[in-house]
Amino acid sequence: MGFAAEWTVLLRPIDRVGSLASGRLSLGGTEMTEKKPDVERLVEEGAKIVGLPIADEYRAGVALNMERTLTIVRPLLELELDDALIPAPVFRP
Amino acid sequence: MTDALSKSATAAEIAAAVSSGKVKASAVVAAALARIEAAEPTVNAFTDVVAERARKRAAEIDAGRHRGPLAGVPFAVKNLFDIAGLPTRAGSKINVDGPKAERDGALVRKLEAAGAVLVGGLNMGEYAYDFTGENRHYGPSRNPHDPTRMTGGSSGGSGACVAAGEVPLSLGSDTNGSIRVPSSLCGLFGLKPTYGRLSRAGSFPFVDSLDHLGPIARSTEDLALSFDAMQGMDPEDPACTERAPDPSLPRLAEGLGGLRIAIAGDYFARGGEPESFAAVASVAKALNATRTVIVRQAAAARAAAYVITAVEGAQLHLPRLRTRPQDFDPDTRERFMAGALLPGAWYVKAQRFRRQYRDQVLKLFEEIDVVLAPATPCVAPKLGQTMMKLDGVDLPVRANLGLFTQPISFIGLPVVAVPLKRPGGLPIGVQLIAKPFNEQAVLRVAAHLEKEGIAGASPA
Repeated sequence: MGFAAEWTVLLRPIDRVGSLASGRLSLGGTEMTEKKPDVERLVEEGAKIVGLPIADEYRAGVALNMERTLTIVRPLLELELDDALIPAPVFRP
Repeated sequence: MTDALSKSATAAEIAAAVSSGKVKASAVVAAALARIEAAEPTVNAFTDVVAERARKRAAEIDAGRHRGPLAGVPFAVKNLFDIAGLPTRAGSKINVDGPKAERDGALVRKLEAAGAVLVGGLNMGEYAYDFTGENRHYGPSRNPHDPTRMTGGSSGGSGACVAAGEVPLSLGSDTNGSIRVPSSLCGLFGLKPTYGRLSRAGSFPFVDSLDHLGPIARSTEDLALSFDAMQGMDPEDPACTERAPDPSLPRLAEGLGGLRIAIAGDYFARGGEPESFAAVASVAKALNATRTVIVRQAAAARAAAYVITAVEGAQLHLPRLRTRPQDFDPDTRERFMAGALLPGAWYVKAQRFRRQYRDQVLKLFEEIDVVLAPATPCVAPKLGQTMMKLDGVDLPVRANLGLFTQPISFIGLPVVAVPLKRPGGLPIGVQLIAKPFNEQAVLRVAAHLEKEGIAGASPA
């Protein structure tokens, strides 16, 4: 799988329900098996895009944190938001 | 009344004794400095002690200057607050190479204008990206109730110094729970005010969208005293409210009269250890609160807070991550680096969801004034512990101690963390949560619980 395709897998759950941990992706009510994103590769290529050199000894830690983020962030990615919902430049509670 | 020179004295007791002339501010500050010297080898709360400055200020108070409601009260601040003449460490080694602060942070100035005396800067998790109070550069702050355990963080020193009785009052910051977590684990009262209520000018930022500052103390009265002294518009913080200050102290003794109180269910009733839910049940019973409310989408709120934190924090530190990665604390470096790689679409979605979630939660507050929820999912973990079992699931400590605090600060609601009285047991706290700018309600409930002997804090 090329980098662009892996990034697509990572981004896809923004709009559709996806279970990255199990590798199963639910689209429109039908389930299909999807390859888990290659997090190590994402870290490597993403760091190039951002211009962040990541030394070899830090890579495993960054990948581990990326994996944890993917798990924690899932409830947000599974939501669908109304188009009218806009963020405030300065948040007023 | 407690001896104003003892480690048990509250800020209110000290101020009363100094104002009435029963004790000199110089004697109070000298006693605090002596306690700091004695306790630091155990608790490691301070990174900087400004003894000379404190003695000078105390002498000025004794000479009749700076008299106010906090006259002679020694206090200390998380070292992300600017202290004139010192580099603002923010828990890092890198910032020590930066410029020294030219003046004190806004809240330090306000407390000193009210008569309080700054005695030093406090240990914290690096750049506030932390729930443990551990720090590889300066060593961990240690829990005075059991020095083999964490204080909680990132305002770890702010919890340790008050719990050890070094000072009666400290300031911390709370982005996702960093005042409420150490308050819970160290057995203290902590106030995270409404987002925008207190100025953040002159403090080192972490996540502008979520950063709050507030006090930690051993009594509700001390929270109210210091909170009232710090309120007020500050054009130097763009998020600071233009609302008029709302003094909380005069209404503190009003009790529960008319307040509608409920327990947060669902997300806030699972995923923790039994002691955190038992603490909520004890408080609910004491308040005769029987209604349960469901805070919908709390898990998504926690996720969104996590994304906003990761992205804004990483963006802030990206230049340093590029040039000085070896000088970061290893426990924060790789979290920051991962945050720098997250998709922008996630961040924008998190910010959009924030508005939806706020509207939902504000609807709850049409029927309820105060919501009860656990402050931490467990008592203080052991120092160095990286994983913990919550509800039978192994989870990383660092990311999960704020499980119950994150969905609340995400929308800036005011919270008082109250310490449950548990003789013989390790401390644990409960969150009292109100609608925006209703600090008054949660402070009144905290004062009631303290008066009834349900909540309370004593120095270890």
